[in-house]
Amino acid sequence: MTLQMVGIEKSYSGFRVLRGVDLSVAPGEVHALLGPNGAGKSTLIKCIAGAINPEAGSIRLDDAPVEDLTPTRAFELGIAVIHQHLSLVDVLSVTDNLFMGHELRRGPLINRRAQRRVARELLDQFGIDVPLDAKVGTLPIGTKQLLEIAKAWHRTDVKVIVLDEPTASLSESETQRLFAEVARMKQRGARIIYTTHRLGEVFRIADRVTVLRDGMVTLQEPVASLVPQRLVAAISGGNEEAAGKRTATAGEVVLDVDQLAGPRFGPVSLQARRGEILGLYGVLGSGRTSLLETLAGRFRPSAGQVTVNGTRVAVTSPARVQRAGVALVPSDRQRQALWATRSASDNLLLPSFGRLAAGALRRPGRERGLFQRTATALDLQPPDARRAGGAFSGGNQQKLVLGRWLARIDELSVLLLDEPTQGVDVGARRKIYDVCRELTERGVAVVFASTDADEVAALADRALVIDAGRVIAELAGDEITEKSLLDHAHQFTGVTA
Amino acid sequence: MTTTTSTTTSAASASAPAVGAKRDPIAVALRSALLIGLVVLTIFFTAQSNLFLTAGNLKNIALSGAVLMVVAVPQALLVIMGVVDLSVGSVIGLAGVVTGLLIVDHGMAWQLAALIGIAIGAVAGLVNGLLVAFTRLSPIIVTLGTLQLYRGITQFLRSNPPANFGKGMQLLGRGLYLGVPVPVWIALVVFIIGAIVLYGTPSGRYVYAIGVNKEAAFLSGVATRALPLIVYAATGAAAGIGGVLLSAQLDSAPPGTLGVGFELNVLTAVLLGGIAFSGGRGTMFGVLLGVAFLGVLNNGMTLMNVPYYAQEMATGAALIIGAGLDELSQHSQLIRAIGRRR
Repeated sequence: MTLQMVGIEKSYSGFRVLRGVDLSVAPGEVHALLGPNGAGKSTLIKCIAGAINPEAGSIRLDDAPVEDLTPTRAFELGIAVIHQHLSLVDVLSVTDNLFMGHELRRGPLINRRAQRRVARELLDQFGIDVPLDAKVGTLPIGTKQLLEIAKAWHRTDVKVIVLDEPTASLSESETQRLFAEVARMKQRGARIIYTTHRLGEVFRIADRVTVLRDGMVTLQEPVASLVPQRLVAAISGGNEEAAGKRTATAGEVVLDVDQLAGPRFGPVSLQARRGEILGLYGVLGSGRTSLLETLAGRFRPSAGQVTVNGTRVAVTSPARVQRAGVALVPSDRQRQALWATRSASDNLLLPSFGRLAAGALRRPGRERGLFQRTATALDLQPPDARRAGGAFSGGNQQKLVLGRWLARIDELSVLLLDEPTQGVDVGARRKIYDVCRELTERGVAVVFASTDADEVAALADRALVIDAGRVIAELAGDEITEKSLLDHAHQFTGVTA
Repeated sequence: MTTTTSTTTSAASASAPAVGAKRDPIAVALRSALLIGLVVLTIFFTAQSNLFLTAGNLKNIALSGAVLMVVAVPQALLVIMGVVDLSVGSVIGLAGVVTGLLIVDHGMAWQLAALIGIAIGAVAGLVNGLLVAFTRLSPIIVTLGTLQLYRGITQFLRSNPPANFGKGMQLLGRGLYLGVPVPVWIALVVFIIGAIVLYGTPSGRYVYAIGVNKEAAFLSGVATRALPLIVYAATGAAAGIGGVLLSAQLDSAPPGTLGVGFELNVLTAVLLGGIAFSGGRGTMFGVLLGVAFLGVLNNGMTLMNVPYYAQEMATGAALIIGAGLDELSQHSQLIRAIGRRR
């Protein structure tokens, strides 16, 4: 009477993402699925949801083998996956959303009375206290998540529910309500798989825990007998090494942020010095993206000051901040950085066209020269100026975005990078790290944010741990290890084994 | 910045496949559909009427397309940026009527009156740009509103048409320079300026960047508010020039009808020329083809005594087929994949 996954394997273009993963969840069990970015959690969830099919291994639900799973088939079997990005329509009412696509009908018309009755029962059952006619867009995110669960609940006999990072954007009180609901579903015998980056939550609601690392299970045991240190060790792979033993030759302060506050973060004070790489480590929803985007001029700060090279900067627009020598490589490449249908040359040189021009006119020779030099420095593959940006691989797209500012290194004082290696292959990742290092050697301060402790440990000379929009710890040099970052982020530092 | 010009790169980029699928024969054929259509149409009309391919008639075609070209060039830049100006027909009316009444009612020199008319067009365009930049309203709503607003103002200024503008205006509208009508020269200058802006200046790159991904352009430091604002003002000025030229051709500026419906002709030419209404894609050569195609189509059918309703049907069909083929050319890989499966 369980969900059983045995020996699950999956490769993407030759790279083995899952290498024989076993996972079983009994009725009434909350099973936490943990691991660093790229460990294979999402792939495993996609196997359960039927979005992809594993190459080897078997899935059994209630002792019946489940083969050739599709999302529709999974849903019919009672497997509901609640993603972070919800499938609710903001402009429609609560009732309309609950029944979207599965309306109760009377002839050709919607049976509104019946829908309202069922919706009322459902909301009561889930303890969601909202009017049936409320527009979903006006509700807090936590309530929306509960609605999403209720929506899945009334459509199928839910046997397995997968909650993918449900608390990333929830406040503490919303988290508590979600947990109460999880406890209730648990009592009804649902099998619950739960992923999170907040390790503290594991001890609050999970019965058992599985940790994935590099596609393999590194820890699988009941939470009752688990101490936090073992959990951290399993996630970090016991990796207590700080990467480069770098001779910190950081110079004067280039970026001075004083009591800066903005959307979902602050107040934050930090300094970055010439020639250093500063890492910001924080889990999803910790506010690190808002912080970087605000520094880059995307949002206006609500309080605080930013000083670059000793001059106070009015943070009013990206263009204004760039004139002061601060530029951003944003986290969402497709949405925030890439011109997919435009040439590599346009993608790489856009911020430089004005500077390369003679008077009002562009200078093609200069443009080709700068493209060529930057593409070589980045090892852009293929180094083709006319190829469309969207036709490059993820890693090379990221090189184009990073290269935008490399091409302007003479005017650059601070480079901000948000999740610099997301969706990037191993080779490109190494190149991006190398370029960051080279930038510091040429006097630039590099500030990057990552949800990946591994990456922060590998790249940062100094690291700040961010949680709930604040800096909660600072580590330097050899103190920066995957383990110490996880410990500080989850405040296990005072706990003894 | 000291840059040494590299000469080795041109060879590398010349042998490389271009942006999109320029080398794909299906895409090339689809993309050239308008050019092929224009050639076929020209051959057809030449065969049908011996009046078609004469110097006089070609002059007629060029003259009829001149004002369209003047307005279509900046409109194309707007559409590539993902916005649009639907008010150009009324701006033409406003500028023409203002110029006309300044000459007729106030005895102003025609040159000065024309400059004032064009300046008023620029201001009207600037108002459009400001409303689009600083409200969250869609450009379609804003300029549909000003389309009516500007027409109302025009009719408030004068109810019956000012006319008989004198010799200077007549020369501007119908005079020849080196055998070519003056408005055609003006259209040529506007076209060249448009091509230089789009291909020869950094702002041209910003136009595409805004159209393809506005957020990325903003984060990269592009002036995503100021640039559309400037192009809206330029479009207004161009419509102002169009208004002056049209009233010069007519020697009259009827407040209720001058430029009415012109915005639709401009949009038809621009979209027919392969500029995507969703922004981010299009060329100046496409605009030239779009304008030429419409001019040849209408002129040829008039010569053949095709009734006006049939001309409208043909223009409508050409737009849908032309835009459809262009859309297909964007998915040529898809077409190939389907072909392979069979």
